[in-house]
Amino acid sequence: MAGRLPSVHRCDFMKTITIATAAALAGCATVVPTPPPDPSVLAAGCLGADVHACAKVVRYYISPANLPGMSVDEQLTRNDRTDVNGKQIGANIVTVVVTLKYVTGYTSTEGVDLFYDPSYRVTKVSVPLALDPIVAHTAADYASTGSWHAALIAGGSRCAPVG
Amino acid sequence: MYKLFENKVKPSMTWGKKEYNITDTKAETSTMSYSKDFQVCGDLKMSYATSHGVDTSTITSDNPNGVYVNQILTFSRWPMAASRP
Repeated sequence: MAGRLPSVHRCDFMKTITIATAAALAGCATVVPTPPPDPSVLAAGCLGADVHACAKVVRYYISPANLPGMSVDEQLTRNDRTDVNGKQIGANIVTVVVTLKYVTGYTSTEGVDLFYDPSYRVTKVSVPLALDPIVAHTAADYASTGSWHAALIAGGSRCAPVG
Repeated sequence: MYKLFENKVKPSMTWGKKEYNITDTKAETSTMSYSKDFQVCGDLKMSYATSHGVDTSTITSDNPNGVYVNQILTFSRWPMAASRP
């Protein structure tokens, strides 16, 4: 079955994503209608943009999950907490919970992870795909993977055209 | 983008070995594979990772064997790229 939430992975990169996604899913905020993204951020892509603006771009391209989840502000507040030694507890990652729709009609709740710097600018974006590009060969196959939307989220119009 | 994946990402995949993890509460097999650091969309760096296996903690009524497959594209900038204002 494609697209299940990861449980255990073998590198820190994937582990970080798993932890952040699980934490976001554990939140209790209500899902609200998504406001349109800033056109300039939509055009330029998420990298270098404010994490809030990037989250709107993600929700523009991929359907938000119809599930409770922590808002961006709630996740930032959680991440910024410090322990008794003054060390930041959370990693600089915000997860936008989305619904991936597969060609089979199956849907799955996944997380798009936004890594950010101390000024809350996005430095890295990890996007789950609805279909493994490894099994894709034709343009239609690749379109089904969602890889194009992933590129648009990260890079905006600089990633056009398709091909 | 699609040609990049077909002609560069796929051929350079590093295929991981199956790993086993059995604890008091679950059993799992997993295989992690990846291909990383491709220039795309001008100054962007793209990496791809896929993970699949069987995990008893993911068993549900519609997934009785606990099979999972995940694939992720990650984008960042090359270190030399300037940040946007």
